[in-house]
Amino acid sequence: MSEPGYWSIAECARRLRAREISSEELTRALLARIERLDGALNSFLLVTPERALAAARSADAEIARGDYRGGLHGVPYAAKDIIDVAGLPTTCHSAIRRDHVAESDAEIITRLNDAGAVLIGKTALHEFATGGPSLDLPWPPARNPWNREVHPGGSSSGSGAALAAGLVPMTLGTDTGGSIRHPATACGVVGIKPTYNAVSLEGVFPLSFSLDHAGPLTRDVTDNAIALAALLRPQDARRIGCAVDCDAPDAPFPNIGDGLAGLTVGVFEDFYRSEADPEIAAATDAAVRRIAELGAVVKPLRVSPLATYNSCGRLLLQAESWAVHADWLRTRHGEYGERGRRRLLAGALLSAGDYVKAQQLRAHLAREIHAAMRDCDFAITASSLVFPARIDDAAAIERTYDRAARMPFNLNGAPALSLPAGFSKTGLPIGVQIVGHPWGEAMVYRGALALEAALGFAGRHPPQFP
Amino acid sequence: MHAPTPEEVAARMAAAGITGLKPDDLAWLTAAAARTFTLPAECPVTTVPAPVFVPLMRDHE
Repeated sequence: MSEPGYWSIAECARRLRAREISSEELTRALLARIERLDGALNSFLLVTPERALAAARSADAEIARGDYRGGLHGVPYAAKDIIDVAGLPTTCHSAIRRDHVAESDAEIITRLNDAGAVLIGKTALHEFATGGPSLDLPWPPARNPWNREVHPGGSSSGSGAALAAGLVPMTLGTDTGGSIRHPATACGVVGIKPTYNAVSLEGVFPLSFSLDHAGPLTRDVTDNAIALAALLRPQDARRIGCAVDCDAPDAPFPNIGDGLAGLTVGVFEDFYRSEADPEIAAATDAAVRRIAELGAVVKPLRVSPLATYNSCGRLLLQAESWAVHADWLRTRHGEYGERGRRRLLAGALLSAGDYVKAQQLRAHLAREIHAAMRDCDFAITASSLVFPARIDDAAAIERTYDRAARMPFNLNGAPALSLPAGFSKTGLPIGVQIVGHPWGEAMVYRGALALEAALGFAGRHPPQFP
Repeated sequence: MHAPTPEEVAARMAAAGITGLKPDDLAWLTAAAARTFTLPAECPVTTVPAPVFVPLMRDHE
């Protein structure tokens, strides 16, 4: 059997359905790979082999008797440890939650169970999805497979790192100000923040309820569409134009392979032209040129400065997360890591008036983006504006924390996907974002799939994790 | 929006029921507040119904 570490979901599904490999064999192979490699990455907080193998055997029995459920049946995945799985801890990577055990599955875990997917473990994150990377927590931070000395992005750090190292073909993350797209960018994989509330947050520990989103990370765009299709509620799947067909599990969105000819694509160029690292700006501009070469009409989009979006989002996040953590911060603040404690405490400095003003500003900013994109099928912009800092350089981490163009799409709730768009001279991945209209995931995937094929960066793996 | 002084940060924390913070936590919070807690003046604060995105995203009732 060839090494399955970098098999796509689509390849796993094809082999499983053809019974070239069993889910148990696939799961055992990935568990062995995690055992062999994750000591250098810390991408998993918890690996659940017995549970995974039992689920895999169940999937094998169903596939053998012809009860095939679709493209995730028997496929292993991992979930960010902020998502409840019945009987397992949801630590949120914090000592505060060290002894927690979930009583029931989050709705998205139930959906993946229904799809026959196999949970293989829970992945590392920034403390409560905000305070990281941190070296003073009960578990170490995840490392970047492309360079273990630099930050893998966050807060869904382990979800990005595990994918990039070929430990699992799919992970779940959450994204409040970029926490799916940041590790996707930094680790060279694909991550989507879907439309607000398209993927259920029930059973996901909150950070900032009006900005929080959940979604999948994968190694390519096709896999991402397969994964998202399984996570959507049926009524939302119909609204998005997703048609899951067991006989065509690779194509849950019927028209995403139609290319870009005749489409209009907006470019949020002010988000990155003046502020981004030159290599990142150049890679983003190159992606825009490829889109034009593929037959799309490209037009610049003008909105308020990125700093306005980031300030508004930060204020909302701090106010809303304070509401979640105030009681613990009053009685147990010493149990948080330093970075998490400080970020969460900052919310105590805000007034109700500040929060209301920020929500009003958010409404203005959301309308502004929707108006700018009115004549566009989708838009493109950079993801990170700088390369990830050394993971042990606290000052550099602070400086780079908000140097990204992701928060605007948490504020307006529209779908945004990060995909690989190049590499730096030092070998670090570069990502760009494809941004859609609300409920426009099918068009986001259409744009991302065409760009992925044109750029050719999917499928590259970190040299140290062959 | 007013950026608080170190004394104001300590007072606000105490008023919120947060006591026993380390001096470097208070210093970090003061610096962070001065750096980040400002809604840009050039961007108008409107009276449109907020949050305006909710109808776009629709609830599930």
